[in-house]
Amino acid sequence: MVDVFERAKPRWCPGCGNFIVYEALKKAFYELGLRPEEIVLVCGIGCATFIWSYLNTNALKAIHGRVLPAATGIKLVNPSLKVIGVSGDGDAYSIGCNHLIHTARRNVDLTYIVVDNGVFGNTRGQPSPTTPTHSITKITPRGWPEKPINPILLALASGATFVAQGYVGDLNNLKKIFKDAINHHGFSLINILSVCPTFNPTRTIMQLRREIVYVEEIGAPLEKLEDAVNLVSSIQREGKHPIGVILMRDEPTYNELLGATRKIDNIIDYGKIHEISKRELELILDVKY
Amino acid sequence: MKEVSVRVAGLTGQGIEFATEVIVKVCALNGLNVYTFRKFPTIVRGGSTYSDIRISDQEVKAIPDRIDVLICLDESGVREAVNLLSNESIVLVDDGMDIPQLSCGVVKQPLKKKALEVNSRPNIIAVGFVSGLLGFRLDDALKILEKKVSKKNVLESNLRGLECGYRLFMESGLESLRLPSLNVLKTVVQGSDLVALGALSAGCKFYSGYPITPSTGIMEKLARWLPEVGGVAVQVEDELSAINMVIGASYAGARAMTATSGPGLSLMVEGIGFSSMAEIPVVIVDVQRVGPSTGLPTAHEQGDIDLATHPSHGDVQRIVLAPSTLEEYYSMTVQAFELADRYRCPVILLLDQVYVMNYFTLEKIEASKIQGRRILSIPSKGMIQVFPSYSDSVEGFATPILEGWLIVASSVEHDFRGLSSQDGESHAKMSLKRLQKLKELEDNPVGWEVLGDIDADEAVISVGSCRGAVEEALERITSPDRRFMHIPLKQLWPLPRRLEETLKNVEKIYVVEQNASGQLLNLISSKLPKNAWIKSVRKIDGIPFRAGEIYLEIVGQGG
Repeated sequence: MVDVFERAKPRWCPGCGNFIVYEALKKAFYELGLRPEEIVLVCGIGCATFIWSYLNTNALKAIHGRVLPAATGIKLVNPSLKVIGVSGDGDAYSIGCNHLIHTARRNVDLTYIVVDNGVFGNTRGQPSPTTPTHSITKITPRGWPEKPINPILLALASGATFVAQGYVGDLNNLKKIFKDAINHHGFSLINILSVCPTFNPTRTIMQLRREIVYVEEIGAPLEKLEDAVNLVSSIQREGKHPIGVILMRDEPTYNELLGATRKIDNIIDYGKIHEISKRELELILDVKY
Repeated sequence: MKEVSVRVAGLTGQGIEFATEVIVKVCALNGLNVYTFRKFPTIVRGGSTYSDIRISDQEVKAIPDRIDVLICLDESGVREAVNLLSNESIVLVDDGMDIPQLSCGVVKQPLKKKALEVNSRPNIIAVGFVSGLLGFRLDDALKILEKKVSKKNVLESNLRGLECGYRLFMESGLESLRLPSLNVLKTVVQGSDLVALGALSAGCKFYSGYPITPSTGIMEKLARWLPEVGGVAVQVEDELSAINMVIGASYAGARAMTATSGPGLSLMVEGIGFSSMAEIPVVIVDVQRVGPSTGLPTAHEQGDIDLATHPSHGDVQRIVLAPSTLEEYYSMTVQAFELADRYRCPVILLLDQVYVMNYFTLEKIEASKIQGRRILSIPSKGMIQVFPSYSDSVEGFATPILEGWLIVASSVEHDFRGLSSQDGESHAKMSLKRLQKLKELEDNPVGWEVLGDIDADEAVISVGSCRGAVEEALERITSPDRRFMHIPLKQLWPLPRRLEETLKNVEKIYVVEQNASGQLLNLISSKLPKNAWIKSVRKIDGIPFRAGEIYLEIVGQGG
């Protein structure tokens, strides 16, 4: 039953996009036939990351911006785990942006969900890296002077092997993206266009619905980087958002490249260590058996 | 006792380190003890640099007080060495060099010219010359080179240079210094070797780090060795990533560590708080260098005591160990992993540049045999539950995948299962629980040692590598009126309760450390007897203490 993944009743502001993300992820786990014990949620800081309290899985609640390094450590030690990172746009694209680039290019086999509502909701209404230019916020009475980051193009340029965008106006589509991403062999980024009625009331689901283009209807997912960049650029040029799996391709994962394809054990092989010591240092490691 | 100190000086890029390594290995082959120290600039080519190689048939515990043989491949080396030369010193320079007047013997040899003639390099010709001067057989250095240099043409060039240098010595008419050859086989190690070997012996299976001098050697070794024992070592984008990846790895079940230096430790402090809060054990090696900020990136200092003992915000639990001998670089690395697991907290190993990067001789090392991490296997209760990881009765680690159990760990305040719990009462309870953990270590400190006279009325407290210079300085004090105890303090946090008890009746205390503000003294000051006379002995020129310097501080100029 799907309720095996429920730990507590989710609590966010009324109308928050996180409810949809929670529902979609829960259903994706269930429909994939996963067990709670084989999933680890790694969550950062921000409203969306509270999901670790509501979904009944293993969880590591990390510090702000460091979801991906912590998730990588888990995956390298136990590759049989389904490791799912959850961040908001601040966690992923502001304080932790550097890690996104590097985790993507390493192709660590994990799923990274970024709930992008264009605002720092947890600290009550400051601009985030995805806030549009000229936005009036608490700290920008004369308008936000910065250009927003482009998470999709950033992930593509960083070498991610699975790049998707979902939005909270279509739960079924989001669920399908989650399932594809979890099944994907390698790193996947899912940017989710979300809403924060409390602190970013200008962005609504109605408005998003008018601005989306389902990329599956125009030939996605694509395999080639250039094709994906062209597709995304052509949609964004029109002021619209590509929705769906944009790029998907198969490449060796970080675990595979490092030869770390089995769970690391806790056995100490003194014979082997003695051998290394003798060979590398000509140093006798005196082991009393 | 037979002791000779050699300095090889020149510019970076002239092969000073190569020459040092060959000389040290020849000494080891002859069973001698060696303590080296290399001073080098940040620039990879063209900065002045030197290696001091102190060689003895007895134990050597510090850098030398004098230079007996100075080899200069560049004029700059002479100026820097002048204060350490005596009338009996021998200075070997290229005959084309313009050097100041010296009171000791200067041997001018055509090092550069000969190098061109035999198509070799001046550094290796100097090695040949010194091999002869020290009284070693040419064969010894030949053997070392054959083992070290694998490229055929490079090896041949080196061998030609070596023989040429050895011949120059034979023709020079100089008398050999006749270092003995002892019938023991020693090997040459750096502290970084022992830390890496200690990590393997402790069952460390995961390393992530970012390159930073002087810690990088540890990463280089573990990158080669960890895969052989079924582990993983990775280089990552920054120290924030390194510490958090190590925390993730430890959560998933592996003993894990990172190594860094001061600037990296500064970046890691938030992660250290995370490790403490989530009670996920990690080992952090900090090889200290001169700070603050970028400081002198390649020089020796002990200025991270403050940061290591007080990292992160909040009431963070941490253990800080500062090994004082090379052997302890191995054994305390092993202990660090054990303690991290036992107390579920971060352990910081505070190390010194001088031990980590330089060459020392060692006969063998006794393995510290311990158990790997205790991973729990607890039968499922029929329904899926969150595992009570933070309950007092749990000994060992539950890690995913554990059938019927979910493993939760968190940077936010939590209950006994790790689930978010934000009320003040719960925080107070958990906070005190974490605080209590390390009380045991105050009573049973790691590596507690009191050297010398336990009833003495004078005490010297040293940290890290200062121990060796203090030991040698105290050995030189022969006055029967002065009796000393020497505490090489190794557990810096939590502070051992015994420190206070041991010093109770002491009248004079010397606190020896290498930083400007007296960080060790500040740390322990509340444990020192109220009426004692206290002297802070500090050195901050980027070079380790010499025994003679400490002797002067304790005995005074007239001593």
